[in-house]
Amino acid sequence: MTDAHPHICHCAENAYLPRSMQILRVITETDDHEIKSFDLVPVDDGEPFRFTPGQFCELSIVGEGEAPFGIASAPVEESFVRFSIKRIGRVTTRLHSLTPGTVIGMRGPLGNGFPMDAFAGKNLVVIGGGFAFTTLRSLLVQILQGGDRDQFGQLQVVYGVREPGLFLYREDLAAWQARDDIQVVQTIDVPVDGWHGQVGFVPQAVQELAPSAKNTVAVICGPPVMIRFTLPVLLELGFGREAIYTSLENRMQCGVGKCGRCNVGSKYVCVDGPVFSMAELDELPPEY
Amino acid sequence: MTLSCEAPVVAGMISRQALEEALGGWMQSWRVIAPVRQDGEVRFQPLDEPAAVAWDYANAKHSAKGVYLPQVERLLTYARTRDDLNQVKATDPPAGPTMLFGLRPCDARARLMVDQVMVDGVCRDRYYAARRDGTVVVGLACEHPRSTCFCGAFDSGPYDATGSDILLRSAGDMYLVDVVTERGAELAKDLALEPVDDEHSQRAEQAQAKAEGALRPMERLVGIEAALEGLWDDPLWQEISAKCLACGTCTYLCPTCHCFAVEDRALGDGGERVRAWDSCMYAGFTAHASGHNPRPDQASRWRQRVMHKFSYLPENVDAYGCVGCGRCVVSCPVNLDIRQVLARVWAAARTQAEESAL
Amino acid sequence: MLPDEIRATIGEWLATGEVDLFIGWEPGTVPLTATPAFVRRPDEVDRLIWDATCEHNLARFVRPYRDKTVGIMVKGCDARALIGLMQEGQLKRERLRIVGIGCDGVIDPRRVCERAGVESVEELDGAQLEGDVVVFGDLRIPVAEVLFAGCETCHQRDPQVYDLRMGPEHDETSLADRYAHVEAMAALSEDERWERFTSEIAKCNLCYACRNACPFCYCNVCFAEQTNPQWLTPTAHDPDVSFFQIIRTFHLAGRCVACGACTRACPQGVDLRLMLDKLCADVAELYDYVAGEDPEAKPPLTTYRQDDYNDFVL
Repeated sequence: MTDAHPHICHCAENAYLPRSMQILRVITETDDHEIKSFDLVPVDDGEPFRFTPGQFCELSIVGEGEAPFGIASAPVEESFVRFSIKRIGRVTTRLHSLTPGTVIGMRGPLGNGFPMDAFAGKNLVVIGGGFAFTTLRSLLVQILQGGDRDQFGQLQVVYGVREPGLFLYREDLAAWQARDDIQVVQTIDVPVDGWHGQVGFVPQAVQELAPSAKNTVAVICGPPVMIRFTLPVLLELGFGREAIYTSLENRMQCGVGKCGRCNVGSKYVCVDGPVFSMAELDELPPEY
Repeated sequence: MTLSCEAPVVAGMISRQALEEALGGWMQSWRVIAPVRQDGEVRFQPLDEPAAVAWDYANAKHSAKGVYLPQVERLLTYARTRDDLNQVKATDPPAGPTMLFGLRPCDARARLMVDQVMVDGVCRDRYYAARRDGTVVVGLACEHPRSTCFCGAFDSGPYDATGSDILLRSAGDMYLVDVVTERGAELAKDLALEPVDDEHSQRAEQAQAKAEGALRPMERLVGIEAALEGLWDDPLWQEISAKCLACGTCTYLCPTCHCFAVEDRALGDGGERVRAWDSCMYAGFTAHASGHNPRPDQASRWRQRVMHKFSYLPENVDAYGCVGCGRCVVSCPVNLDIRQVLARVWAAARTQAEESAL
Repeated sequence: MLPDEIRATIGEWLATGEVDLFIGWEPGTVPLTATPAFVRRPDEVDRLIWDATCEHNLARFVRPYRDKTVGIMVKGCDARALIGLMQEGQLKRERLRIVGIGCDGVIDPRRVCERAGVESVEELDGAQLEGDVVVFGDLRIPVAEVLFAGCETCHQRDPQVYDLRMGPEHDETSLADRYAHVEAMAALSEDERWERFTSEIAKCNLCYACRNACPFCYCNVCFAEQTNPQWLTPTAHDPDVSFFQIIRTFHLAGRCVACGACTRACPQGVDLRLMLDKLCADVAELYDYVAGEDPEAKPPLTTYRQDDYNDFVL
């Protein structure tokens, strides 16, 4: 378990009962409309929703089922909880058809989240590919807007997608580009008319950025092939495997380490993860 | 491993008739589940009358798992409208205490192991916990282990009291009553006990020795997790799984298998969300919506089954996911014998050790 | 062990690489059971057996190896499955080396248990087959009296495709016997039939052993496991169970070769033969076709003919 992060447990009540959340707004993130963000607010006056960046929730639509999504908003963004959802199966297709005002269910927060305590005092290199930027947004917004910016050192971001229309959170990205306390490199796979930014795959972009490994932690989320080719770049730059973190995905159902399907070796992605350091993954079998 | 208990205390002995009378009393305030003969086979069923207990049964084809982890359990009911897709209400676990009567030691231990995951694990599963807290076990020591039983390989045996609140040991015309837990002590107060005499004590001991001697010898399985460590890429998984039909019968009959699916059953505009038994033997168990499957073939699924039972569970909850009841061996349609698989594991580990010593 | 000539030939096939793999049976670890064996080396051939416990349809295991050359042992019914798979383009004849067996039927361990007065097969400790007799302690039961029900009405005991042959030759059996249980069902009233059907289905727990034991259930993603759209939930409640059974049965219409592997694999004792034989009977009557006889024949439900029976089309 990364730094003994406790599973923030509401399970004394009922781990399987979803909380009613209303859709406040729907944002179409990508030009192909396949990824939308849903900002949710609680329906009841119950406890405010507290979580750590990197955690996830199971979103529930009764009659269809549930699916797990990383929390894309930061804890400091108290007025909503954001999930960015790619339309791919039964639950996500139904979700995509929903409009503001509709109430759905949410169980969480689940999982371990990023070890913020371990990140404090360090520089951060945050690397994202494609759709996998969701919890990275949570992490970055929390650092930038959480009131503790000076707790963290230099902030460097590399975010790569296939083409410009596939970037998530373009307003945030633009705002970050304008700041001087964060460096953001956005890159696309191949040249496209109208794109004046960087071109090239993420491993290349990281290599060109050449972030210093000294007192730095790397967080990398993206498709397996991207991670496979970026990891050697980081190692070459001197990052230790215990200083490189990633977030795993797996098919999940209960979200609380009981239904037995999301394990990688003896660890459950829903409880011991989804955040793991490379050093921790080295101890686990390559089954994900 | 935590699956052991303090030495039970012999409280006395009792005739079968007196036991049946006690059962009659218990049936007034407990739902008593016992092995009962029906349609030519023995099943764990709610008892209609004390005389229906199949005292001499070997073991039921199906485990008693359905009592503490129902095959289909309603977690919540729901209604929905166009605007509200979360009108949910948690179901209440069934009220009323349950007595599992006549459970064999292997099955009693199995229930204890599942407790470790469902209640004593990271989160307390409210539905499982309610059933567990309301259940007592009167175990029945096993005089005639079958050729397919291998409880002995876990340093357990047909007279293991672990997991029972009371353990009954046959001594010819009487049963010795061993009190294992405080709840067992409470229960024992309802029994018309006589003091145990030497003759019956000896008979019980002889029966135990005979039963333990009847177990087919098998390589000890305690410690096999060490053997599994280096075997991730071993070809044995491909070889042993070639004949597997992926039917999941082994997982359904197994008293320790507890993996489940959470599914919605729609009934018009309402419905229920249920927890239902699922199986790591099925391809769809780990399939992502994207089509990616981290366990794409039966070899990787069989590796998961063995690792989960003999490596991950010992690591996480200090107990093996197998009690040696042999049900999977008896019922597998292609006779994929887990004992042979485990023997292959030991052999593969030895080969590895030899090769690395070279 | 197998007859000398057969053993020698299989050994040769493996030694020369004429086959990459040979699939047969070897003794099981539970009384009166055999288990599928996958042998790759000549010195493993001595493990293989043939007797009335060899109940599995091994044709079910061939398809993943269809790019290699595979040897296989088949009874009359299993050979029909190979023919059917060739008809469907799933296997090539030249990629198979077939040892065909003239078969007198396989035993049903449940019937042996009944005769022996025990509840479960593992209690038949020490039971053996001696020729065509089951021997258990003092009990001697002719195999013919404890056959699997489907074997009692088998319509083709001799393999119709093989490279090597063993076992007796038989006169063809009349098909009339085979459908007796279907006719008996049809003679019941509608209520009685419904009662019979629902009480059989009620035993099913949706484990898919039947599907997985069947050589013809080879879809990459079975309808039962599709997630989008999701037809079934794995909760074994009645609408799902009936849905699965009915659809699987219909998917096998014109393809099922009545080998009985599904019914033997079922851990719950569901009488699957009843439903499947019903469709076999219907296909025989409406399309004059019996599956698994002729590798060149075209299955009627995947072939269009102008004179197709279509009175059921509204």
